[in-house]
Amino acid sequence: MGGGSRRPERSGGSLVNSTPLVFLGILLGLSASWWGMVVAPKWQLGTGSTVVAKETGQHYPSARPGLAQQGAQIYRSEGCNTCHSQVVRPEGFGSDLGWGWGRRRTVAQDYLRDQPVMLGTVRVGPDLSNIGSRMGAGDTNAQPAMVAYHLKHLYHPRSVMAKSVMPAYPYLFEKRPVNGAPSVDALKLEGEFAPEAGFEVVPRPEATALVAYLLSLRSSISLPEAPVVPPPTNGVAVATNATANPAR
Amino acid sequence: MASSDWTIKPAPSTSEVDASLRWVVFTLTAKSALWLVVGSFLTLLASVKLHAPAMMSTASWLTYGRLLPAGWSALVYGFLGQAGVAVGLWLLARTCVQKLQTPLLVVLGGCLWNLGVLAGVIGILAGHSTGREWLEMPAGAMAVLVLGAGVIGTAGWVTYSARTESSPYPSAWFVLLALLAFVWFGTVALMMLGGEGARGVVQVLVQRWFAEGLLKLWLGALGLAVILHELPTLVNRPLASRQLALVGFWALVFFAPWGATGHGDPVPRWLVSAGIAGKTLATVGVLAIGLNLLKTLEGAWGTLFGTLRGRLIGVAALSYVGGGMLQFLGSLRSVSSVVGLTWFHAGLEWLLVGGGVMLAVIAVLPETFERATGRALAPGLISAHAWLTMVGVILVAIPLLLAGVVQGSALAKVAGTYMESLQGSMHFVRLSSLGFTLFFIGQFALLAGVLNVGREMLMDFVGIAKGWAAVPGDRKGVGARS
Ligand code: HEC
Repeated sequence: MGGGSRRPERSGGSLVNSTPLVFLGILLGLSASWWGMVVAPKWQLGTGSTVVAKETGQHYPSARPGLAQQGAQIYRSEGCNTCHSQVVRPEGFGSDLGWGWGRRRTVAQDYLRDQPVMLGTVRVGPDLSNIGSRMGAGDTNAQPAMVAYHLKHLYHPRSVMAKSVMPAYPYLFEKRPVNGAPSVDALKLEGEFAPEAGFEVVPRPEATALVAYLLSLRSSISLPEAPVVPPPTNGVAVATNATANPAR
Repeated sequence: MASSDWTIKPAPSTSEVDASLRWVVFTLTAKSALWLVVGSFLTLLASVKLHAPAMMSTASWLTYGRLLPAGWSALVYGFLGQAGVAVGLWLLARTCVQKLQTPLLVVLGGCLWNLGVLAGVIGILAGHSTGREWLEMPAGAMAVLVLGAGVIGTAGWVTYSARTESSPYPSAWFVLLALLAFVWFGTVALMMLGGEGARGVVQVLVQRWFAEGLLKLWLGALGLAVILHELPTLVNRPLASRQLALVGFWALVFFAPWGATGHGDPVPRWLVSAGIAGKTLATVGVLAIGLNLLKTLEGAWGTLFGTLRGRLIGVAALSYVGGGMLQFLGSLRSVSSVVGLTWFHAGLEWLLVGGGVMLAVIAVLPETFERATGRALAPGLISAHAWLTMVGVILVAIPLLLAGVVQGSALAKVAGTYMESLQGSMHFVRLSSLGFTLFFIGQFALLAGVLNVGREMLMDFVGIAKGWAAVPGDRKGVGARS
């Protein structure tokens, strides 16, 4: 070791000879991107406030209900964002709208109230920006069926979606002996997914909160900067990935 | 400043410089080797869980969404944050021809750092992830890391200011940059994300700016410090151009973290443009580095790839420059509409971090270790470690990149069900499990080597203590004083 490269020629380095100057130079360089990528956008976006949506006359985005807010923390804690994005890309850029993941692209306004904002980086599963309105949108009768679907899916994804690679989350549920009449909350599980006779599977509060969060995920109100795109006319609108979805 | 007046100081000998790093290098390497085993195990488990999603699903800490960030944190902060810094400090001391200053403080900073990583990894597994990529460790753990990095970084900068070489070799700048960058990005991210400090997508901007900064200016800078130093040495030539290295350095410092935004992001249009411009200018920096290495290497590829160490450095340099190019390509509108938000992202991270940085670090780690501690790691273990890591990393990065392209192309045409569109890419994702397996097995070789040396040192110590105990009582005082 210790060839010529260790004691190099002395030319060209005079600018970086004074320690404080090097320090300040690097710090200046590092702060350039901070001003541009963080501080300036914070000035522009950090003061943003809710807007009144034309469609509903209500403030958007509204605060999530308390249970859904707890659910958001379960979503964070379980790392659902390692596989799911929450961003619908614009029309003509990828096929997010084609998959029915939203009626329009998502914009900064949609994330105003989220803490943390979990956009995601890799989509192993489908985008979830609008999972709350994608299944049986606006149909209040569909609500219980949707809750049941999500709970079953979380307990064991393959019980509703063959070959799913989404992890099962049995620890968000409790398997317990049936005590007298079966609980109304018990999951309707069939075949290999059903518990042993005399047992039932009921959601723990974490699972209930998580599903409340999923159902609160809706970013499809028309906004001036992101008007709703008319649905595709070729009739292949894919409402959800779930073929076995009762709410479809 | 008087401290820049290097000419009046007598230069220490190379062996004095090396010896000043003895405990720093030993402790950092030993702890990093442990984290490497932990991190590669967690990432392997995560990868296996994609084959068998219901396996071991009753334990919350074994869920994919926790294993992956915990494993990545162990690899990045536990391994690279220590082994990379150990190697970096050694290069810094060597190129500045100065003993490492306040080495005990560095050992202390290293202990703080480990405390932070431990709390962070356990925190993620226990469900306290922050949900922000690269920043998943709970804020408290991250704060301890920043503190540790501050202590270590100060020692590095003090060493530089006490240098006896007037204009050190470019590797020194990259090490200095890395030491400062971690503290800067860490402090700012913690401050801006604490409490309700940042609203909405501003959080994402802070997080991505942090991740990009750490990737390019902390890890990337450490990798480049090694590559720029090793590659010319291995082919026994001087670096082609110091000026070109300067251009690359400053282009990266100023522009690399701008790459936080891209097409399709839910942010104002000007921010997307700024992000693209930043990526382009940072690519100029990568090109300058690549060109420099290419000119240095002209006609000497055979020499470089003739040795195992050369292969590691060669593959690391190719990964760094190739990864930089791919990242630029992936940010172009037409390409990112396909590969954006796919496995491509994960593949790129593995190419840049695993290939560009990790391979470079493990190439010099054995020499750093031997020079500083005076004890060699067993050569058989070193080459087993090098081969398994190199092949493992390649078999992770390439399949994941391909998975991203296949997945993106399938998603681009809306046909069939989502699961059907996923099938093609999952083959490649599963292939990467093979890479993760080799990578995991390989890490035992390094750990075994370091443990062996630790045992030797302990035996020596016991031998000395025994010898001391055997000396008659009335002479002990004499021996201790002399
Ligand atoms: C290993 C990656 C992975 C993780 C982690 C993961 N998912 Fe999934 N998810 C998938 C895949 C793949 C699908 C598509 C197949 C299916 O429906 O099961 C999916 C589908 C879904 C769907 C149905 C989407 C639709 O369009 O029908 C929901 C809802 C969902 N996941 C929620 C979650 C939640 C909540 C978590 C965290 C507790 C989570 N996922 C964690 C991979 C993952």
